[in-house]
Amino acid sequence: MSDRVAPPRPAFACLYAPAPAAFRTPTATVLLEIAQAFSPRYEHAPCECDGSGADREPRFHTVVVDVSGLERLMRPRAVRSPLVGAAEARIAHGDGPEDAEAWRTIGQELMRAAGKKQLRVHVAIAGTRVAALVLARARPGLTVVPPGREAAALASVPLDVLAHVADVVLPSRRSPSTDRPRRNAGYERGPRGDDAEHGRMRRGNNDAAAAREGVSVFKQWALRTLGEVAALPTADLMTRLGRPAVLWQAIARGEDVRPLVPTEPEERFEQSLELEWPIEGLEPLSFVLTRLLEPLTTQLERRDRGAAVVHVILDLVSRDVHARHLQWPSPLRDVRTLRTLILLDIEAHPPERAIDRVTIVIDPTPGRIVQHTLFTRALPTPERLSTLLARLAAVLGADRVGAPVGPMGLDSNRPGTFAMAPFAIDRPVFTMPTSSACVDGQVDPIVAFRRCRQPVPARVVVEAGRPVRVTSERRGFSGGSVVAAAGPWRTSGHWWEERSSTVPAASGPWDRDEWDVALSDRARYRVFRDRASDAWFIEGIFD
Amino acid sequence: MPGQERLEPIYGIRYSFDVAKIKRNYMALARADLESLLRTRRLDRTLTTAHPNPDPADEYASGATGVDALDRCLEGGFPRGQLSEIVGPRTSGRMSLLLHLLASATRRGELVAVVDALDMLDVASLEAAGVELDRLLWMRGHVVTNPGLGRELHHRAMEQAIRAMALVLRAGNFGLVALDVAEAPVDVIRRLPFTTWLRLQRMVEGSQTIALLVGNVPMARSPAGLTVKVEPLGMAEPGRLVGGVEPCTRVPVESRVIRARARVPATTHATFITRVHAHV
Repeated sequence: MSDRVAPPRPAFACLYAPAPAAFRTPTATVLLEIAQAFSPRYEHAPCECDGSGADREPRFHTVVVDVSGLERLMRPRAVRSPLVGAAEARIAHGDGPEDAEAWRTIGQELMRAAGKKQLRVHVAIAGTRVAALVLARARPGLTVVPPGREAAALASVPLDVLAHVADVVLPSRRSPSTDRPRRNAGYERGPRGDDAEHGRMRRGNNDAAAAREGVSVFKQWALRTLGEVAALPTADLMTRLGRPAVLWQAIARGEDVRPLVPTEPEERFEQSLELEWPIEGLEPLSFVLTRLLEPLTTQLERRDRGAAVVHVILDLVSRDVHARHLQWPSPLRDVRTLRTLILLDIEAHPPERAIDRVTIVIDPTPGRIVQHTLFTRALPTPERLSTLLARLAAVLGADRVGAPVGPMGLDSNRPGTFAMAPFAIDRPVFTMPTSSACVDGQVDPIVAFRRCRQPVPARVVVEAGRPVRVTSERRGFSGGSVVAAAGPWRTSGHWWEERSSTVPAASGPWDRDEWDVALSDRARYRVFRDRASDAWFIEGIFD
Repeated sequence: MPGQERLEPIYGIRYSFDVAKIKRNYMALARADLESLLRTRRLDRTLTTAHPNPDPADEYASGATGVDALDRCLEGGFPRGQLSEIVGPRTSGRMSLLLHLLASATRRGELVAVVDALDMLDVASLEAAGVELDRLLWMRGHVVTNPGLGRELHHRAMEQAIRAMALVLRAGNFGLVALDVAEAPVDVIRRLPFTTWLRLQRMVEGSQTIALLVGNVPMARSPAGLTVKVEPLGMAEPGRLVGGVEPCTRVPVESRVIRARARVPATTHATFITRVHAHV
């Protein structure tokens, strides 16, 4: 005799909340709390959005809870919710009265939980997810469908419901919720609702629009209920309306077209520690950070996530809050690296008072997938590179470390213009097609130029319009007579801006004549005459 | 017979030893042991001349400069894991050679870093030389603008630059790390502790990185690195052509190895041509 317990019969409870406008946001939260109390497997589906663009808000919320096997735990109870009393509980006819009675108890408990939270919901329990959804959408109060009677229970439901539930029922085309980056509430910089959810609702609206068109066609065929759609021959339906019509018919018959995709609860990566005695200095803070970061990195490891952005919130004894937001080019989850990076940043931006409370919040992103190969050169690991860049920024300044961006990538003709970009090794390599040096083979080195960021004032003797002697008082620039000179090349720009000083600056207008000169000491310089002030400057050295 | 000792027979067998020869053998063995230990413990090569001759085509032993004549002269290029130098006076072509090295390294897929002590690197020259800018970590020192305080500011900028170079060398996995102090006054360089270069040499030893100093005069004098002195041959006409026309002005540069150990015979020299680029 076998001791195996029979697998539980599939059972789904659907809670549908037609929330009034004032309770939009709490409705979803309350529904999810109720669902979590009954089963870890539930699916939240906001539908029928108001507004447009980023401010779209779902008008109704639906939560489908997998209550399979729950009837073994919950015995039938005679007590009924007052909300149930208002709307007569319906039990469809069929075989399986024991299961139906147990499901009815579950439904009553769900409605009681909602009633405690001042929320009026429709509850339907059925053997398929689709049947529970359609019945919850179509009928108020509690509806329980015994196993195997889903099609019969849906037969009398009006056809219009099909358009309302199509976007929730049809196969989901969204990526799994676990793969999208999350932002912790309170520290996010974008709109509250994430883009993936809005994208899903947008696609769902397309399904709903198609379903509405199908419903209008069915009405033209004089069909009024789901039962009449279910009775149509499938092959002929597909011939006339295509594959979506088969899915609509499956909905009308109460057949599941996709499994339940559980919604994962939002996981927060946050640790906080309130200190008994305020701390000052980096050494005690280092110990506190280690204590906070260890459980966080363990949590990240378990979820295969990395920390791309870390928020460090220091509550000071002066009631002020010293917040730092650190962002790195690649996600990290090594305690020592994170601690070092945070300490380097705090060292560069120290708090004004002693620290009373330390809070670390991490915005997680999916972990890195690295395919190593023997045929490429080893590169610094992201942890080591992030630490290196942070240390260099502490020594030289954050704006003086990075990868250069040349004039070819900038919209400027100013001599010597450049920009600094963050140095990252996972960026696609930009190759310059116009440079002759990129061509394989022997290429002669070009004569390089050393540029004085601040032009050096010079004294230039000009004869017959050409410089003949260049000297400067600046240490290191001895100068001498000009052996050869080439020029002038006149350049100007930003003439529409107002000039602020007589000395050429890194911004603002410029107007000058440039000369390349070779001096008697064998050095070659580029000098220019600023036409506005008629002063000469050394711009740099050819080397 | 001098130098030989005759020992008493033991068990009827008579032995004869050459004491001087034994001493010589022992010294040779001890020297070999010491050299082996020094190599194993990655100590510097000050005491040992036993340096394996690398394959000139092995890019993991040396980094090619991209200038054929110079690469032949250096037997493959600058050695990896050593501190080398490019020295020369102003307008000698030292910066041109550095940019060519950077371009060659980035084309090989390596990451490169330049510690620009006095913030004089011209990005247009980098682009013209063919350096892949995404693979270049540029560390800009602070600009020295006040002549009166120049000495102290130069010294502070030098200390920061050397600290930055040490950080990059310690991080590892860079193909080339260069410290450009060519325009720094010589007295500022001389004020640095003499252990500075030894410390940098020890950091880079055993790694795949070429550590390079660019200056006026030899500074590090690393026992296993190379020192290449560059100087212009004659006077070239300064000039540049605009409008995308290929410039015709070329500057010949003579490079001379003035310090090497074991690998490259010292005082070898090569001549190469640097060309003026229209957009620099």
